[in-house]
Amino acid sequence: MVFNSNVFLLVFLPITFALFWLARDKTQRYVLLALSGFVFYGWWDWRFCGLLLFSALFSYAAGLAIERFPAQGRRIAYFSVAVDLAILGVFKYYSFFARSLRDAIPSFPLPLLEITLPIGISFYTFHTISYVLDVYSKRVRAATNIFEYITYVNLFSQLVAGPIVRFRQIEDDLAHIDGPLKPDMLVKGVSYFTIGMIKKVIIADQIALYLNPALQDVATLSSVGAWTAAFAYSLQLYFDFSGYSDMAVGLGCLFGLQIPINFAAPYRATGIADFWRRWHISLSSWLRDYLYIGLGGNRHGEWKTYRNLMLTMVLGGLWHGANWTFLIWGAYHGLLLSLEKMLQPWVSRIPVLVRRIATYLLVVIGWVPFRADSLDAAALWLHRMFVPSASAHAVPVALTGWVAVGLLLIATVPETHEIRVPAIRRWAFASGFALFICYLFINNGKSVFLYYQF
Amino acid sequence: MDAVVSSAASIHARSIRASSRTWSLGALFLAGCFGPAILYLGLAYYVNPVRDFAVAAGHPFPAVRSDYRNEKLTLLDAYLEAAPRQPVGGLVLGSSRSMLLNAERLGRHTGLRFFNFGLASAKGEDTLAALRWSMGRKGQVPKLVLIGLDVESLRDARSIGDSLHPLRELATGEPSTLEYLEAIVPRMAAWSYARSVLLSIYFAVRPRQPVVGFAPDGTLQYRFLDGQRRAGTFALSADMPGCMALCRRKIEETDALSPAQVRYLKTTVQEAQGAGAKVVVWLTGPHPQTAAFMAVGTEYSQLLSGARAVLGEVAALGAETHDLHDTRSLDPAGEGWYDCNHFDNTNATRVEHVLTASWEQ
Repeated sequence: MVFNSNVFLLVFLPITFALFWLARDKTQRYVLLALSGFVFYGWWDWRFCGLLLFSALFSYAAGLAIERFPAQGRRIAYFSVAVDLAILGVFKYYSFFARSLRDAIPSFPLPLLEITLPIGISFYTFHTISYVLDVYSKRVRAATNIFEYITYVNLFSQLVAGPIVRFRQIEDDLAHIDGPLKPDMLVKGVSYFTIGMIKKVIIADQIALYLNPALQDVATLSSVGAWTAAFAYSLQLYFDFSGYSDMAVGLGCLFGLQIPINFAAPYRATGIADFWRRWHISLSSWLRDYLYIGLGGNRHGEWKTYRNLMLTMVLGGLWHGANWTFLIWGAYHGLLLSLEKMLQPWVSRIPVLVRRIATYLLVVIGWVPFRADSLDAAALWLHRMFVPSASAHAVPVALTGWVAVGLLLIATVPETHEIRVPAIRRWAFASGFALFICYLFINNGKSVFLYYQF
Repeated sequence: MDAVVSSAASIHARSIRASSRTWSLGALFLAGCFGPAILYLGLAYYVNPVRDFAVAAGHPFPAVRSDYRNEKLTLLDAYLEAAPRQPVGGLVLGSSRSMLLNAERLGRHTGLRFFNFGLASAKGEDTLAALRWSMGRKGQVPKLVLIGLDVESLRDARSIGDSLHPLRELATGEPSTLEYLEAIVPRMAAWSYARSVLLSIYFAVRPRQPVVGFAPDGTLQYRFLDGQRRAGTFALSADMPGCMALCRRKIEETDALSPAQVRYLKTTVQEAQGAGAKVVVWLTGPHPQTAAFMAVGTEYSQLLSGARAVLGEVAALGAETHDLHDTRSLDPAGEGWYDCNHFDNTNATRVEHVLTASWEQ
């Protein structure tokens, strides 16, 4: 099920919302949210609900065991994380690994299996890993109410494409889930959801309408066309994913849960490190806290810091998908972060506006391998961008127009969390009207969120 | 004690105020959603931009798309009346790609009086309905029937506006009211439909020349694009990406061919043969670039294989068949096209030659 579908908007959400606020006690609300998560997830493929439940129950038990047997806490935590990573490894990376090994050493072939990638596995696995590690490091208490914990893992708003919420971030809200619906939360929820929907169906999907055909054959693009396509993709990805994240935050509010924001005007960043503090914040902070710092962070000298940055970003790239293109994209960002750190005194003397533009351009170049279907396609696209060439196939004027509109929006319009939403009647009516307009666009064609594939 | 009671009462009052405020905001939000939705649906019904609704009182706003089906019936009547002693000996059936086949040229090749009864977005059932209309209602017994078959015509996915709904008498299956509403409401609640409503209102204020039209024999004419060609301003590539995306959307919603539409097609072939006609079925296709674009990430390749299998099945019924999905053998440069989905007169002439090559006058 996707947020921009008839079944979600006209059936699932109204029923879940009504039942949730009709329920009076905590357990009823936990059970309802947990079940709704299974329905939401099972709509795509019910067979993988078992895997989701196993992941939740296993980490729940691990959390309790860590508190019960503190002397064995480290061993239990590592075992639980290993199980989570094994699940992720089998479903997401096995085929990639087997294929790469077969290419590298044909005499040592692993069987190639057709394994369906369970949607959202990268997200809920990271939820459970962060929970177990937080319990182990005593940053959070182990959940004792199993329904509360399954609600956290199964929460439909963030189940399949994030944000990656830590248990401690919504622990208080979950504990007080039996409270009444507050006007400010309702208004915030509706506003975030509507703004997210506008970003997705009116901006990202319209860009996709013209961009996808243009990228069908990058060999036919001129240099200007290749750059236009790269800018267009940067905008499509931002409006698509930040739109999804806004909707997730909004849906959380509708159920009394404050889900942390995931974007903070990333294309206005003044450096690559700054970009990662603003883009997919829940993932970058997860990688920082559980991987980069775990590897030693910047505590063991300059070169080990660079090594840790590279490792973190390469693994972060691979998290997006089992493909060399993601690995290259991660390595590219690791290299940029290391260079930025290395040249920090010099970089900081560059005017802010120049840094901002340069950062955006570097990020746009990085999106090329991220979007391309293969390394060859990425190389061809980059070649078209950097080696001047003309082409008979002009990029549609509409795509250029959308790029201009998108750039104007990211340069001038505040990020969703910066918009002060007044709890007034006019605003409620306007939000409803905006959602109706979005609905017209939703019915225009089927589209899914780009981050569902990760 | 009084202070405690007063404080509790004040908290209670605040809570009630907050609650009633929450619900009034929620109600306003819903009013913002559904109020304009109801108004819009009413307006769309009244404007009726693509003639989804048969309104006895007529249509105050112009249609933004030609009402091909009604128009074809009127044309056939006029065509028969113009030469009552010359029956229609050749019939073109199929979807919009068949509509481009020139009935006059076909007549010259075959010596038969041709009528083009191709219908936009025709499915198998539309083709059967058109044949039955010509033979049953109008008493015409064609000697040669050319049927255009394509992947799109064998899908179940259809919208009411693309069907024979405005000609309920032609439709082989009358939808129930519920089925009708299920199909029409989501279609109306889409931006493309809203744009049609706005365009219809705009055209009521500022009338325009028709973009397409028909020759008296039913052949489709792209008047606007032909005008552009004459003026040298036509550019096929300009519209390709948007056009390809729209074609792909149709396929994205389809994962299998419809057995019912295949059955309708076979019945068409058998009924024409039963009346003594020679039947030629040809597999049509979009611009090669469009076909390649649709094949990635959709079921198009499998659907196309299915359509080719259907072509084999109608060949087994005795029909002559031609696989012209890939037009590169006829048009290597890929330039004989009006848009990403419809070839122009140059390619139509080439197709007509292939389809009538074996006909002996």
